[in-house]
Amino acid sequence: MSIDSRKTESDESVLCSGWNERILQRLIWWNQKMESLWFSIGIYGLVLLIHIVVWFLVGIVEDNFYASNRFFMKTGSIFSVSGCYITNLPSIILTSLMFFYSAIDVLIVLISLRSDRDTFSIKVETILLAILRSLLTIVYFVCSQVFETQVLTHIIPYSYSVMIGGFVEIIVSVLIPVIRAILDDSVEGENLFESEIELVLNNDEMCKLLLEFSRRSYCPEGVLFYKDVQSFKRQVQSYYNYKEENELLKTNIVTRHRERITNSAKKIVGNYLSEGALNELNVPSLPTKRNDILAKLYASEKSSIDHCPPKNLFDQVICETLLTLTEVFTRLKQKSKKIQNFLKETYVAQSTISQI
Amino acid sequence: MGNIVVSPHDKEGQHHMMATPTSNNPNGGSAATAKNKSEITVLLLGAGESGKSTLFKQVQFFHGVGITHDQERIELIEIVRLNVLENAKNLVAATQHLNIPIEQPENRETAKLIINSLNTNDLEDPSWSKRLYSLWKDAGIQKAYENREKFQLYDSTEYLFENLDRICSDKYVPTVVDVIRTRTKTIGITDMKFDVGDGKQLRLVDVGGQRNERRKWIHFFNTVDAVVFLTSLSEFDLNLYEDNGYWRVKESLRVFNEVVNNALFYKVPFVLLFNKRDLFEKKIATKSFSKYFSGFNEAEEKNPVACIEYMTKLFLNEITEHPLDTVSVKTLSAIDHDNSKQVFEEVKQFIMTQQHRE
Repeated sequence: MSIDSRKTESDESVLCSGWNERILQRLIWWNQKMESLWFSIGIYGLVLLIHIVVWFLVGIVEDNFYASNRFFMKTGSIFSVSGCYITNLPSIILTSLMFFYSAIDVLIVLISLRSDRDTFSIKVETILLAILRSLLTIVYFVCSQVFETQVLTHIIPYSYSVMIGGFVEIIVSVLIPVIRAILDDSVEGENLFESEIELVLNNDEMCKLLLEFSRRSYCPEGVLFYKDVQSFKRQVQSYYNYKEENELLKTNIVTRHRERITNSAKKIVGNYLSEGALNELNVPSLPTKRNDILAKLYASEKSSIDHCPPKNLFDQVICETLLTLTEVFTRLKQKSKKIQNFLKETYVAQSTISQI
Repeated sequence: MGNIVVSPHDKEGQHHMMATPTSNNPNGGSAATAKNKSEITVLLLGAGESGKSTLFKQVQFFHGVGITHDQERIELIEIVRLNVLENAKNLVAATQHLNIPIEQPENRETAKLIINSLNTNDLEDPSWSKRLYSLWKDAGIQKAYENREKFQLYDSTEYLFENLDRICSDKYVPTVVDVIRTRTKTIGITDMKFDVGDGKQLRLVDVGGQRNERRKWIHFFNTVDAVVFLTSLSEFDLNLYEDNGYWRVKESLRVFNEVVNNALFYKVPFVLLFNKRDLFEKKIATKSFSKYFSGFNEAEEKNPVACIEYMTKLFLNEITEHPLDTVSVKTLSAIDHDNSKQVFEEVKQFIMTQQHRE
């Protein structure tokens, strides 16, 4: 007899998950390709090349067949190095192109309106940039009509108005996110004041008490999971430290180190997050969380940039596990003088630090 | 009721818990394995959120132990506040998930803080009482609350939000009712003992109800003298916490089937408690019961007695091995102190009578 001996409805979900996993893997593969450095450089290079080719072809056609009746330039050739005036046609083409780009931006924002959230305010930024670009395009077009041949445009060319749009876009969508990410990274790891339960878990002696207490209450899995994840995080950290020092070596040691970390992560998944595992955790929707973590592990294995699994791989599950430990921890706190004294002493120490 | 022994252990950090399981002897030490005739072990079983721990806390309370003492309840401040935060977070998440906007801009600001940074220590500040109450009363949140069967939310949500002015204060000490209404997911196994006369002690064992917790129940199966199986009447429109896509009633029936027909329990008195009768009666007033049970007569769906009778038949039909004369069925409202006391007394009498018969 066993309460757990019968398989539940998840038999079907196991069958489905294989198929889903394949689609997921394919999507991850595409996502990685599109995120890769070479893809970005390739796209930029291609667009630049197309523009140069168009410019060159137009120049050749105009110079050879329409030299007396130019449609792009007013006086000199498009290849002129001493300056030249353009006709209305390039202004109209450029204006239409800029509005077209803005319209695409707005369309994408409209399509993504129903998506869940906008954590980094990307939708708002895109709309504001589209408005700015449209305004600057109008400025450009008006200037191209009004200041056509004035000397002022030799000093401040009105086409700068279009460039300002591009410049602001780079600041908003590249520079600010990079600065934000750097700031966020610097904040991480300065969490001096942890929750009570983390204080206990991070202290070897107190953690042993908690582990023993939870073992006797038949629920050691949460504590064991926390300790295993901490050890996994240390492995990842040491991998990055080693990699930084030996960046150019690319030795087998780095590869082996990475494989060890991936195996540790898989072992944690097998021990705590799998249905029917000896130390299966009591957190909601465990199969979904397990699949998410496995997908991330797979992505890190196949990634062309960095093969090491992310340090925060288990953070969400850790958070929920700490919540499930609250009850057993409260009971231990009520009963154990050692834990009470430890927490009291830690608080005194922390308040002294904060006063300093 | 006389002497209470919460646990025989005195060693540091080892009170109020079961004997140690070892690799050689998974049933633990002497207290768990040696069947002591003077001790009646009663297991509280049932799927997650069926009310086992609520009944356990009520029994503690009317025996004057555990949460009866201020000091023990002070330790639970964080858990009560955590319940408030979890409820608030779940409601805010539900508004996004169900596409119901929070109407007032200031409540949207509060919701952002709840999701991003609010922690239990912040709730010492009384200003949070007003902010959270205003959020609770927001039309968007109330609409999500009306649709609470579509997401996971504790039964105590309304109670906690209505008592925010006490909870959000630096002088807050949880009342017994607060503790009983607070949802704490039990993991592992806990127990308490008390005298029941005739030189006998009753050992009440509370367990976790989610799927992964149920494998731990087996440690007590061969020492058990009676089983009290709880199931929630009000879960007929809800899905599981651990698997949001699986109907709770189906899970309860499945677990009941496995427990009641277990060979180890053939000779053991078995009590089936239909809990949360209060919530159930409120729920069927506004929601359709027959929608979930095709065999039930729709004309009777607002009659709680008929609904409970139907549920009783549903559960009793699962019994294939256990002798029916040793099965007792009762309804309960575990958050109601008097009702819990009366029902538990009846359960105790039933178990004692069965013991004498044996």
